[in-house]
Amino acid sequence: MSRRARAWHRYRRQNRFLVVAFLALMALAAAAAYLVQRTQEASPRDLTNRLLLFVLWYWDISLIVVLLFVLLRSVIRLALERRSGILGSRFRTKLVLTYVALTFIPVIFIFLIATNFLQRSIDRWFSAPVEEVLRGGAAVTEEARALVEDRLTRQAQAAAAQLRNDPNPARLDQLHDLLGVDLIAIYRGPYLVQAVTEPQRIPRSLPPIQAGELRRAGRRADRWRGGLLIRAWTPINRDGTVVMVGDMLPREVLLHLERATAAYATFQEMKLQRGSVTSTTLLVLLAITLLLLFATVWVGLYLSRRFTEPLLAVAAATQRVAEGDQLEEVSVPATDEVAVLVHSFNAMVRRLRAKEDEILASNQELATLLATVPTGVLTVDAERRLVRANPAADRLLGWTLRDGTWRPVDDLDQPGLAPLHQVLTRPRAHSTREIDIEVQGIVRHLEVTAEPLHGGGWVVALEDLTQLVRAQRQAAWSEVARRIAHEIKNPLTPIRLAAERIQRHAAGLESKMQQVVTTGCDAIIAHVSGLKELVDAFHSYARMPAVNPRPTDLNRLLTETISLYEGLREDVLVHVDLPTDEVRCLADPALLRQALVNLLDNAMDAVGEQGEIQVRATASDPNLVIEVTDTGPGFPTEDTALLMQPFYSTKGRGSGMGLALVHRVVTDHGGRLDLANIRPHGARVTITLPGAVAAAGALEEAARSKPNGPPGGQA
Amino acid sequence: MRGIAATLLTVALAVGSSPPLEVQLHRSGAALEVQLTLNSPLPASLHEALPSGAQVRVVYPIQVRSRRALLWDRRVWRGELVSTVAFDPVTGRYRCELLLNDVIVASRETTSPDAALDWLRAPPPFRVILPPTRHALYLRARAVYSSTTTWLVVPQTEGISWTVVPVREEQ
Repeated sequence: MSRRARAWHRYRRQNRFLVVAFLALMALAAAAAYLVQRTQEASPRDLTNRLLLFVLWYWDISLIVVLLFVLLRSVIRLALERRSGILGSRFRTKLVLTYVALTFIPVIFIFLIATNFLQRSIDRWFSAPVEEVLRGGAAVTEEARALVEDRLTRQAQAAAAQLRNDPNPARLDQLHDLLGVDLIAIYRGPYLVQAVTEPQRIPRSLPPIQAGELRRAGRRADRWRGGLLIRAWTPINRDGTVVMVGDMLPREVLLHLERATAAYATFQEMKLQRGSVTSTTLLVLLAITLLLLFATVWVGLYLSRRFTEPLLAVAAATQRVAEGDQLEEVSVPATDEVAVLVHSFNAMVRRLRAKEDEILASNQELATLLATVPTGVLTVDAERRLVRANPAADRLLGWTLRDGTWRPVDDLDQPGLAPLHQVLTRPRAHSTREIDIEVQGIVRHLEVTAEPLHGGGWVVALEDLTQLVRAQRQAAWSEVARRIAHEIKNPLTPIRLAAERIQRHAAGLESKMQQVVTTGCDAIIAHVSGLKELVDAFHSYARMPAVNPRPTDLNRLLTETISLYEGLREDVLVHVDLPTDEVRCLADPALLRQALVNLLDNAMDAVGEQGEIQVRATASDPNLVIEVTDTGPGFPTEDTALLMQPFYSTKGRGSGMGLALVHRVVTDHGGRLDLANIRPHGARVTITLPGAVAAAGALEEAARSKPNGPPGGQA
Repeated sequence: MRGIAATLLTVALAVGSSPPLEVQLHRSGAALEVQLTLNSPLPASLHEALPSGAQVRVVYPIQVRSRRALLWDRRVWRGELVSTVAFDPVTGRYRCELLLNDVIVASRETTSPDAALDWLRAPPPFRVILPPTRHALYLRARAVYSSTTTWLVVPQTEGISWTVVPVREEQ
């Protein structure tokens, strides 16, 4: 089927109803016109026929019921749609009300005018002047007939007198000519004896007359042969002979008389049925009016529905688009400008759909980027009351429910996160700050950058600099240690060799001088040895190997290390509290042993000749906690960060690298080192290695995946 | 029941010295001759319309019914007697016709207005043939002068109410 044929088929289908409605309206109008014509031509008896009245009555009632049904249905449906808030109900209500008003008002106005006009016409028809004219016409007919009858009666009496004196039948011709009548005849009893007629006006045969009527004088008018025959008769003598005279009114005169009388008779008959005539006429007019209303209302409703459907479909689709529903094209039959609107909307929908797909892909790409980027990103709403985090930020903030939903900013208003809460509640555009937060005991150093969004709100990027700062700091300390070791270690050997040479050549000196030189050289050699140990410690710190975690038997490691100190001093008790079950952890055993040795050395130094040292290890999956507690005097300062810096020592001896080395080992394992004093005296050092304890398979897997990194993932 | 009704009917006929419609019946086998006489005066409109040449009429609806014991009465015969009078101003005579179910059963001409009115009030007797029945019969008749409508469409007749007369055997 070609495009033109499809368009023509669609056009025919759309307009089929209108064509049918128009044809039906024309047929009804023709039927109504025919009915009106028949009503005008019908006799009063037909007009007042009950069947016609009932048909008209029930026709009108049916039309009223159907019309009311259609209107009420439409009104109720519109009211329900309007109450339900269905799109377009208000517009359709206005359209229908406007159309109904525009239809009803003129049609009812015309009906009232036509009714009044008809009523007045009927009143004028039955008015007194009309009746007087018609009555006068009928009276003229009677008087004219009476005048002719009176004249014929006198002529009959005159003829009877002439014939009574001269009963010669030949006298009839003379009397016919003398009286100038159309008929003169002699009857004897019921029989016609002799008659003289005007042959051009009176036919040969005469209408019959009853014998009883002829017994005495009389007169009579009869329609005869198309005319009106008026006769009068008078007895001539007592033997029953009667002379009759008559005139024949021609057909034209009779027709005039009949029309005059018939008009008055018809008038009187219709006057008797005046109410019914009025009712019938009004019913016919009412039927026509209701037909018009019915047709126009129905067509109006159809047209309003047809006109509004495409618009409402477009409006509904627009509303769905505005509400964020799926973009759908509108598929409704439309023509003209409405079709242009529908096509434009569909084109817009297609373009929006393509743009939406593009935006969706971009959003997915952005979401993937945010989900995988290691930088934490927080989105804050315009009122700075809600915040949303990407997975990296969730990890930084310790939020386990990583669903990307909005949560209150005040959730961050807690001691460890207060700096971040302050940044989020009072952000500054294009600003970058470094803050420290503590989440679950882990202090992180973050670089926070805030940028405002165009649509309101902020984006805050969290860069975790903890490892970087730590690495930078350790690198700096390592460089310091390396330089010190390099600068000090080089002259130590010549100094020691020079001191030993001086000591060897001191044998030839006098005893006192020899003692002084030997003692001085011993002191030099001893201090050089101390300096060499110090340099070796520096060297060890500077060249500390990378952590190589692997599954380690914790109990064995601790037992072997602690056994070195058990019984080392008589009055120093070393208590060990280890898990009863075998605990395997992921750690570098050499570095961990070195850290434990340093801690035990410090504890032994702290307790002196008498005291207690307790080593406790607890493994709660996945964390490993090792506590070393002594009964010494405790740490001289509460600034634990200072205690963990290299070259810091309060003992007046040593290199000050012990706790620094322990801290580095622990932090390289991704753990935390806590220092605390115990009241009334004592100190506790706690090593926490998160994620160090797990199932054996998991440990092997972790060891393979992170051969050179800490078990906690904080490389 | 039937006896009571007949008694009441007889008493009613006896008490009313001049019923609006007087019905005289003469039954001979299946044939029933009916003579109606209207005692009530005709409407003034008929008197006024009669000389104008308009056809005036009095319609007498007539029903013959048979009484049944447990069922409603069965209609045995029904008819409409129409007595018409039309004055012909051309001839000066009144044309009187009597139609039974649209069939002319009697007619006459008269020059007397009183005779014409008598034709309307007391039409000539007519005869009907009744179907055989073993139930008691009665005749209902009334006179209708005109039919009009009220409220535009509700038909309403002007006339007298029904008169009921029992049909006896060989009256």
